[in-house]
Amino acid sequence: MTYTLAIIPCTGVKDPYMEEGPAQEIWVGAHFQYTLIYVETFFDKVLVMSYKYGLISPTDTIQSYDIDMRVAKPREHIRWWYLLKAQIDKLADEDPPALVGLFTGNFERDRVVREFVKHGVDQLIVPWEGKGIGLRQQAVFDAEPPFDPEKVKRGEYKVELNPTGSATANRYLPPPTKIEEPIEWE
Amino acid sequence: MAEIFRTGYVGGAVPEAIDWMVEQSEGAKTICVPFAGIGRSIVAMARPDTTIESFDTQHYTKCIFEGVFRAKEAETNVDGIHYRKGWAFENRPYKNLDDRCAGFMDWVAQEGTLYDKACLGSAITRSTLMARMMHWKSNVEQFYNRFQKQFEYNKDWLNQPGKFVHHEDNFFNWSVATDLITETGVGFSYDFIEIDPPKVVNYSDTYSLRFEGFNQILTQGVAAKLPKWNRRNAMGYMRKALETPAPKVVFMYVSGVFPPYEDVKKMLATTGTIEEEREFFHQGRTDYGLVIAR
Repeated sequence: MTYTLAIIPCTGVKDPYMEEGPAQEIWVGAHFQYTLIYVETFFDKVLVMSYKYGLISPTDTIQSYDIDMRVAKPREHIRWWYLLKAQIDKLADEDPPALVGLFTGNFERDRVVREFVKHGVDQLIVPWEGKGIGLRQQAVFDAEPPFDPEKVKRGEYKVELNPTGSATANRYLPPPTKIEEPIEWE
Repeated sequence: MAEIFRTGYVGGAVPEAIDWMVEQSEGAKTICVPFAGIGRSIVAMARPDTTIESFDTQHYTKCIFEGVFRAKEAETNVDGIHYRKGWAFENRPYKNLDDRCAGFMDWVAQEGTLYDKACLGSAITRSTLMARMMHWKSNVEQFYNRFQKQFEYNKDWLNQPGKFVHHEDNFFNWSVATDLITETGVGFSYDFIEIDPPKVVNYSDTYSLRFEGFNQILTQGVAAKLPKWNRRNAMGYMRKALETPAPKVVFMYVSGVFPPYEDVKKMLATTGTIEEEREFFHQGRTDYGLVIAR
């Protein structure tokens, strides 16, 4: 576990003149483009979550497509999820990263987190959660580091699943206190 | 438009509705408010020559009246974050409520003044998710910060004009013909009554549903259970409240609750003449105000 991995979303905005080519050339949406260059700066490895191919490298050759899994038939949705699940399991078992940065949206994010944790990759961050487009762009232009490498070494980005085996409920937990002194009951 | 008293409750009030109510109460010297809530309308109606008698089962209302509206200055015992194991610590009335926040609220509920508790109530409400009093969303620093903010805000509402007679009790426990007269010395009939009853949202009113734990925190578990309004008894309770003697009544209601507004309006028409009906639109709901002459 020596490297950091970013998983970023693909985009519906594709180059209308390219039928086939490197994924990063076909996907021309601004959000994808600036997210890609941002994570390439801070993470060792980048994978893109595609609704057709699952997890692929931005340099992989793909064919242009028009699929949105959020509105797909349940059968297609599950088929896609099995593909993604198998890829995550293989990655986590054979070449586990020290930290995973998820830049994808809410769609199936909890399942992705759970799958990584179940396979021993328990340091995950969601740097853009709660940030609108403006704040994301600000983070990109300011080259704001999404994580602290020292904290990764110390295992401080560890995610724990709740008793039901889900990561969902943590979203509504109160932020941890910064008071370090133990509670003195009076 | 006059500034209205706020404590962070969900829904809030339409400032125009408060202004309208104040207009209606002009000239009244003795006013009765059977369901005081946070006293928002009462403080708006208060003038140097008014005596306002109010009732509410919530201890929080008493804290606001005695600790803020009637107080000359802000009295406090809170000098920082202290912790004590009390009712909130033992019972955790909100999901995800941590030890520190529970400990702080128990300490203030036990050691704080009424002014402190008035600030605590607001800080508790604002520290829950969407102020719905179900999920706790704050750490102790945020919670204490809200307490301090309300502490400063409440200072603007100290020492209100007129006389306030507030009862921490169920209005229906009082015999109108005897007790009220003894307490206020104002005679058999009030000049004006403002009725803003609890609203039955689904099968129960939101007050008895969500405010039970809140009330128990502030009283550290000694408060009696809040009376429950439901679809079956709500109309009867409203009719009973309308028996209070006064020549003029302002009745506040809202859309989308039980019983429906149309039914309540029909019932009101049997108790007097509806002289005015107003609608106030607010965040997808309609607030209704009716003036009944008797």
